[in-house]
Amino acid sequence: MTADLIEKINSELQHLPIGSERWKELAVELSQLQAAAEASRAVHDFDRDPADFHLLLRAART
Amino acid sequence: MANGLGDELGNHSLCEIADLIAAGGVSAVETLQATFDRIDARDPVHHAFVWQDRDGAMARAKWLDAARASGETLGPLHGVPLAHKDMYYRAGRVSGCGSQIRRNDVATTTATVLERLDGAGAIDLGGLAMVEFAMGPHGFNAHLPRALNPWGQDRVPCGSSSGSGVAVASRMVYGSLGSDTGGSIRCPAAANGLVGCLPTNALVSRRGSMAMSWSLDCVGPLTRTVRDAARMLKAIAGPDSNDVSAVGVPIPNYEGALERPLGGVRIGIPDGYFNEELDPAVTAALAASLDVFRSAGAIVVPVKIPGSVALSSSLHPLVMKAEGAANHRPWKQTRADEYSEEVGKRLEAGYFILATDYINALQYRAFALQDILENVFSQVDVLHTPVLPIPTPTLEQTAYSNGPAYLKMVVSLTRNTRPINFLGLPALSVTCGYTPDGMPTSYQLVGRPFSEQLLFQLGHRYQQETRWHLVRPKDLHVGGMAN
Repeated sequence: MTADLIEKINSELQHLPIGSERWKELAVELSQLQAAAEASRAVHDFDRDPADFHLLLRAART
Repeated sequence: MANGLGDELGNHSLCEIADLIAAGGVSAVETLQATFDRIDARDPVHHAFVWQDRDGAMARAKWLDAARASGETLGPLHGVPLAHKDMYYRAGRVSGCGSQIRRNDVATTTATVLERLDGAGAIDLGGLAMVEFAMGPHGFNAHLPRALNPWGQDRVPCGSSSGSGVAVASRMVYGSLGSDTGGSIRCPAAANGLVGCLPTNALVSRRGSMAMSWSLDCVGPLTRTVRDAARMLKAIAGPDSNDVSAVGVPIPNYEGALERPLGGVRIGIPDGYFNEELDPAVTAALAASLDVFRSAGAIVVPVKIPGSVALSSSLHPLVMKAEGAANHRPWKQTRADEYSEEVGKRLEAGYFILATDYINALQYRAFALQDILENVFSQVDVLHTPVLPIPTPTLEQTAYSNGPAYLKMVVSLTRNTRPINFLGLPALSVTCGYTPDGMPTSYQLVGRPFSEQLLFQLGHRYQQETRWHLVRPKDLHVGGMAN
């Protein structure tokens, strides 16, 4: 995620009144969140796991 | 002034005052008037209340006394004055959610949890301070007078259920509902020397409660004793025909099981994640609390924390921000200037998260839950971890800025609590001593899904063996002078 890309997405899609000083800060924050998502894909094969969190939670009732 | 009867009744716990009213030792009207006296003495300093409905509360107290005189008792909270985080809707009433945007919105339905507390006989006295839209861990709200921690007025009360923590700790009311998306019950409970209960995800209906993050939000109580929390949770938990997300499991008689022996219960000490980045004083208090459990017959063993917990902690804000952003999109587009700068910015990343990342994060929750069930809860019954990793910060340390110290502080406050929300597990935070600055610190017991009964059993036994929950806050304001 780059500051320019976030600014373009906002102007085309979200239309939020976000100050220009925020683009760089958001790029840093979004890169961290994206890295977490990438890390999950690196350790788990989502294509082979249809598990549903809430169903699992109920099934695990003690 | 909150002296005489007001102060005396305020020292009772929720269960003690409920049982006293039930036995005819004091009336609901006397209890409520004493509550008003304490609020008059303390709230001008501590700023826990956003609004009060004294006329409505007194009318209900009189009705409850009349009902009792005619032999009718509504339930286990008959006549007990409570007040809640200002985000539980009651038809015809405004709940501002700590915001400017909702400050005039009149609710058209009543939250299921309020209906259930009404049914149990509680008196709903008012709305309590909270972080704007429940988005923030340190407790500050730029739209409200600052809620002050009765243990140290230079310290944060934590949040987002800041008013709940302050109102119960300063003995203004006997218990309060908070909400917990990443630690917003447990952190203020820890900072204010209270018990905080995060129920299993979806054990408690959220109908009529402000949504912050639909898949992570939970409703639960803040109280002074574990028994009080058990009584409140029993009153609010269970299936709701108006909220299909609320799980239809039987709700045990939590209080009835509190005295069960602890022999053979296995308590896990975390090896990894939860024992990292800890202040030495917090470490020492937690270690001492384990001695109490050992003496009571529990088996304390180390347990390795899988890497999925750290990753859950990193994915939590991705889910929370994406869901929160979706809720707030119409307001962010048209009324952005009505958010405080701090909270308005907190949402913004959520509008640029990729759908694929959000969906994978939701899917990962199932894997992470399975992982901790197989690799932790196959070896132990509960996990014993810190709540706040550091002593309760000062107001100055959490003052809003864009600097790295502020960001690090905000993230660190919930590092031990947010992965538990991501995993959907129940947790109970209990005060276990003080850091050298005199501020309370807490452990949390984390259990398997729907194991609240065991958490209450352990926490109650701990409180029977220790006296932390009986100590009055040192900065409690009593009728014009500090306690």
